[in-house]
Amino acid sequence: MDIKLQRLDNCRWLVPKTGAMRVPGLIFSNDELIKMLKSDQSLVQVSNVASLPGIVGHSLAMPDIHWGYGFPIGGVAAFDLEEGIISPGGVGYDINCGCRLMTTLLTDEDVRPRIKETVSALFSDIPTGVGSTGAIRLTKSEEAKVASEGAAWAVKKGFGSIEDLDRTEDRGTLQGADPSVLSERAIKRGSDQLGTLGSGNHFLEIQSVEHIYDQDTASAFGLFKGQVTVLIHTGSRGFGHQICDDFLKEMSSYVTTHSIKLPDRQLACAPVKSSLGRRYLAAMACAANYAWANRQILMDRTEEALLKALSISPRELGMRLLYDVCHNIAKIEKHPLEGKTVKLCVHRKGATRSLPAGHPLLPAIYRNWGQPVLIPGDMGTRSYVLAGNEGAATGSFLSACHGAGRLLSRTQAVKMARGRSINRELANKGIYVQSRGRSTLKEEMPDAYKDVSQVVQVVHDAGLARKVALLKPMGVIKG
Amino acid sequence: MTIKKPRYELLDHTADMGMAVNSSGLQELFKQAAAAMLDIILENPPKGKGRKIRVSLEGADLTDLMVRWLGEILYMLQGDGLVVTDIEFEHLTSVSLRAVAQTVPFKPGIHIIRHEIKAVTYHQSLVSQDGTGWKTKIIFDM
Repeated sequence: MDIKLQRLDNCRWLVPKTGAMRVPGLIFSNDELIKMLKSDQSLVQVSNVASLPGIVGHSLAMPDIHWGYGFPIGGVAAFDLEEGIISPGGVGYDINCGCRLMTTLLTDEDVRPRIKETVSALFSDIPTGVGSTGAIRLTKSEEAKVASEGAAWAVKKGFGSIEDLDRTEDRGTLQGADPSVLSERAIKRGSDQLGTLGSGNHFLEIQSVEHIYDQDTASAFGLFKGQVTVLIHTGSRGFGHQICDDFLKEMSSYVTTHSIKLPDRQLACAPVKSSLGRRYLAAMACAANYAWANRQILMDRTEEALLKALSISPRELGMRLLYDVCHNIAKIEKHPLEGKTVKLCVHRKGATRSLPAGHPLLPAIYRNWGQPVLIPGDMGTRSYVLAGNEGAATGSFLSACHGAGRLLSRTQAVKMARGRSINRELANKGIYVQSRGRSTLKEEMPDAYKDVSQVVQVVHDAGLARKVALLKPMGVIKG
Repeated sequence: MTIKKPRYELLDHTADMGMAVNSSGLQELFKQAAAAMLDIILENPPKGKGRKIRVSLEGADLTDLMVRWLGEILYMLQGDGLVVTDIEFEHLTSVSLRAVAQTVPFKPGIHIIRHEIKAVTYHQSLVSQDGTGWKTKIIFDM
């Protein structure tokens, strides 16, 4: 399919409504990033999503858009609750994959001389890798509590503090979770993976704040130049994968029996108001809560590992949660549409929620500043902290990008890395990395990703979120 | 009959990875696809006999059946810790299959994982037949 794009301005491109599209597509991008989309099928995916029943506004894509399966990665789509659908493929297998950023009272000079021991301690204490299991074994009834309560369960069990919930999207508990709708397979896979990082693009990174763009907001977020921060990127592990898989198969049968025509089977869906749609939302919320509990536990483990590696007290470390955001989710949210405020089912597949200052869902600590929007880059360059802006409320269903976005496939990346030591290249940049999988570093090398600075600049220029701080990696653990 | 060393082509996908498998017969295609997926996941997939698992599945068509079939093989590894080493089909049509899978336990540290496949997707997946035999193309979520 040949997609003709119309350039609206320096950060917006329209995909005109053609064929089966019910709404136009809108891509946030710049002249350089948009060229990279010509070689993959992500534009077709934007168009496919635009053809789904009940979609409203535009089929949106953030500047880190790349070819996914069904929905593009970086896609945002909102659906009417009466006429619209919910699609597990619009959330993804790693339900509530997300990022959590912690600040410390340490500075670059405190940690850099001991970065190897510090990374080794984290690598040894935090389970990483494919199918990694943690020290926590959940009984079925306890797992149901995790699925219902999310981060609040972890806090009750002594992982972190109650204040952390204020600094977590939805306070770490997505309402409507119902563990009774889960399969035995999902329950089994969730029983031993809590408190684990996983593999692939998941990581834990020690960083330092290299640059502040917005001093007032940075101060409100507790950030200062030279400060050491820790970023965790992981999700709901096998528990979420299984829930997505279970419901995709069920919805695949549903679309067949209900003669729903789809351009891609991975877009299998059911009406939001149907029994199947509601069951998926209840199961998805369980996985979202599992992921928040997972990141809450990992934060606690990180603190313990850092205290041990650096031989310092909790007061000296001063670790505090800045914010935790999810970027694979579907939520029922209120948005302005055609002059009215309506409830919509918003899918964010590789997109971060971005609430502007004053939004009622913001905790008091951030109400004057906007929601922290955490954008990891690749492990060799930089990550960003942004703050939600008003443009997201009117232009993107309160969404911004979620990362740099892949540029190369894994096989292309491995080919490009042939004969190179990615570990050494990163070490030369002052970044010490430990990883579990043999090919992980090559597949995840910096060249495999787009330039996160360009992606973030588009989000900033489009008014979806504004730049607050730039974080440089100094140590990374990966699965 | 054991599964032959799988011959497959890796397909490029920006975020994920896919495979293309060809075979002269339909049963062999389903076997080869399972073996190819395990070959993507594991370095030197193990051989041998152990616990037998019965699989019974229905699908809307052959492509749906293939996605569900590979999903079962993947769950045996990820959920039950079992690596499929051989498959005997009792029944395979365009909408249903019955098979017995021979498995051995997955042993962390001995069996090396090279890629994590999170799931078998429907995206661009296809089972088709032409003059030369059967083909399937599958995209995995990595």
